[in-house]
Amino acid sequence: MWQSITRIEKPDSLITAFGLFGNNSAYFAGGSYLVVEKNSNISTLIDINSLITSEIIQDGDDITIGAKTSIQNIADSLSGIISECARWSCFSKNIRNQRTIGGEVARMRLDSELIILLKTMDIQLDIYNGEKITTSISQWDGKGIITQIHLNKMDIDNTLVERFALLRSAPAFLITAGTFSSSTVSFGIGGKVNQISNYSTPNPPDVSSIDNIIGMSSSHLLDDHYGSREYKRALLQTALKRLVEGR
Amino acid sequence: MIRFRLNELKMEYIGHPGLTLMEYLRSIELFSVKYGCDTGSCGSCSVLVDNYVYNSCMLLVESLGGKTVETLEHLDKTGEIDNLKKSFLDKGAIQCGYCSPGMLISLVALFRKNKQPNESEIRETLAGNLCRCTGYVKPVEAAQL
Repeated sequence: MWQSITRIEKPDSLITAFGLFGNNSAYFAGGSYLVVEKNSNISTLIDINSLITSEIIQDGDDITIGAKTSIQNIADSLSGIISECARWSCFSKNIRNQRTIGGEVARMRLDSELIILLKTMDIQLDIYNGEKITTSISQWDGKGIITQIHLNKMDIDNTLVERFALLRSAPAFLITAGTFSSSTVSFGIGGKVNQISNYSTPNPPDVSSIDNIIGMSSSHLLDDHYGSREYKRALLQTALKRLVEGR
Repeated sequence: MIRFRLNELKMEYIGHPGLTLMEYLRSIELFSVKYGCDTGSCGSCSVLVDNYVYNSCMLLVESLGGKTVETLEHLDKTGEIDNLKKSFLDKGAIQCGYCSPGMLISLVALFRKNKQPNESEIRETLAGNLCRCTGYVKPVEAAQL
C-alpha cells in the first residue's frame, strides 16, 4: 500500500497536467519506479497515460517513439543495439512490460544501458513544460512531461556498447557506448558510477584522447564491491579499445 | 470508481488510491498471487493484464480502468494450464512452489503469443521469476512441452 497517495488526477490535456504538478505530486504513466519506491512525500499522482502515445513510427531513418511505449515493445519492435540495451536495462520481462521509455528517460538511471545509449547518441526529446519544445537529452533540465523521443537509425547502426557484469544476465557495473560519425566519436560511460559521463573526440580517436577520457571519467568510477577504481579504469581502457576496434 | 475485469468477472473498485493489485487480489483470497519481495524483483505476484505479464505488486488498482486481469486460479479453471501443470509435476520442476504460480503465468503469456518457443525465449520469459530452490533447468525443460 502506498499510504501517502490521496488522489490520482486524470487530466484531459497536457496543459492541465502540467498545471497540476506541484511539490507533492508526480507524473504517472507505467509507474514501475514510483510504485516500488512509494515515496511518502508524494500525495498526488498525475496520470498522463491518456495524454501520451505508445506508438513507434519509422519514417526513413527517423524513428519516433511515444513516451508511453514499453521497454519490452522497444526490445521487440526495434532491432540492433537499442533492442539489446532495452533488454539489458531491465532483467525482467514483467517489468519491461510496465516500464515506459518516458519513465526510463525521466528517471535517468546511471546504470541503464538504454540511458547510456540514448545519451551517447544525444537523442531529441519532445517535452511539454507549459509549451511544446524539442531539446536534446543532454540539454534537458528534467522538468516537464516527455511526450516523444526521436532517434536516428543511422546513429543506432553506428553505435556500439560494451558492458561488464558479473554474469551476462546480471546488471552491468560498467557500461560504455560509442557513436561513430565520419568526423567525431561520442563516448558515454555509466554503470555503478556517480554520474554518466559523455565525451567527444575526433574520429578516429588517438591514444591521448582515450587517455584523457579515462583520466576525466576516473573520478566518476566508484570503489565498491564490484572492484576498485583502478580495476575499473583498466576495464574502461579495455572497453574503449574494443569500441574503437569494433568500429 | 474503477471498473475492470478480473477472471471474467466485472469488478468495481472504490478504495484507497495507493492499494496495489497484489494486495487487492490477496484480500479477495486469490492466493496464487504470492507476496514476495513487494519491489518487483521476484515475479512471484505475476498476473496477466491484457495478456501481458506484470508484477501485481507494482500496479495500482486505480490504474486498471478498462483492463482485463487474469490470475492462475482462472487459468486453472479454464484448463489452459493443464498441460503445463502436468509437465511441471512430471519433470519435478517444483520444490517449495512459491515461485511456481508466477512462472506458470509468465509461460502462459509466452504460449499465447508463441506456441512453440525455443529455450532462449523460455529463459528470457522466466528471467523475471526468481527461483532459489528448484533453479531453472527443470522449469525450462517442463516448458518445452
